[in-house]
Amino acid sequence: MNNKKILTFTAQSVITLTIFSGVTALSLPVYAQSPTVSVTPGAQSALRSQAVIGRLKGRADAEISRRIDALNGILNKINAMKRLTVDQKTTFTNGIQSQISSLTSLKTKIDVDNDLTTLRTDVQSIVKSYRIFALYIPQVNIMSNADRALAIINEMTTISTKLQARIDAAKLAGNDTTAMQSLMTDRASKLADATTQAQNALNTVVPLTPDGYPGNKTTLLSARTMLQTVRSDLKAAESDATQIRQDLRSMKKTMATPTVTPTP
Amino acid sequence: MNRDKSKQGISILVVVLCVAILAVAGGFAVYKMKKNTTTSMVPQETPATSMATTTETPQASPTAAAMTATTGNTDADLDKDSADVSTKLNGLSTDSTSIDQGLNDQQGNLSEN
Repeated sequence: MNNKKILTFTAQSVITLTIFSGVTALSLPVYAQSPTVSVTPGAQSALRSQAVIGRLKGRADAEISRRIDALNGILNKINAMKRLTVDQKTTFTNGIQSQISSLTSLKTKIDVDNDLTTLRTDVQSIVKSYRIFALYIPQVNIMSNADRALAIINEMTTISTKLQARIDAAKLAGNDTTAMQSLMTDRASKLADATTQAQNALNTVVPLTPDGYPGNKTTLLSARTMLQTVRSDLKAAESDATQIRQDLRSMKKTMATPTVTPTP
Repeated sequence: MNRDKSKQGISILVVVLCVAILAVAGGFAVYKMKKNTTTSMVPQETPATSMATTTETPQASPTAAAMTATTGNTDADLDKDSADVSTKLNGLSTDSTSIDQGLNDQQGNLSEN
């Protein structure tokens, strides 16, 4: 009987404590947002400021971290590029590193800001520095894409040489290679255009500086269009190569058939 | 009485021996089966591994594209070159999405409310 009483008491206590803690937890945020219960106007204003400071710090930290991560990403892309000069690489790397350092210091400062006015000024500097980030990210991505495209064009040019050797051999063997030669001409013209467009995209965006942003965004957009042309050219050139390889294969089969090469 | 006891002892011994033999035979059979499964799995794993290596290599160094073209011009060489180029062209298209993302980037919310 005693045991039953103890058990009942324990269960009631647990239920009461659970309900009480739940109610307390639910009421806490309400208290923080509307401290109208028994707080003086001065304390109320201080609480509001603290809430704004908390929100601003969280948003500032998130934005700074986002930018630092993205800037570190493009630093790696710059280092991987083959068609930038050492000086150009150094200029970009220094500019980006300086922006990362500046954002890191700002984050450290914001984290200890307790005064709303100072915090507002610091947050404003994140807003003002956005143009640097807004330029660097697409600028470096365009340069990196153009750099990769030029490397692929080099490889495709090497393959063109091999294809031409095969076509020449087929012609020497007495085959009609007119169609294949025409595809080769088209491929060469597509590769030449892709080279020009990729090089132009690279050349137009390299000199852009954050001071010119957002005015220079049109240049970035134009470079993006050039790279779209590059990709479409390269796909067409690759399609030509596929057709040539198929033609070469079918020629081989015809040559291997005994009826085509009858003995005199 | 003693005879009965010894008979009982012998039959227990026989049962224990039978169980032991069955256990050993069963274990051996399981071991054999496992061995067969392992050996038959090896050739299946090998091409998968080598395929992963060949497909990952060009992605690891996309800027060194000029270095990856094969030296010969046989059908097989040209097929391999074409496959490499296709992979790189796909990578180029994927990479271009980061340009759009950069151009469409919006500043994060820094408002007080």
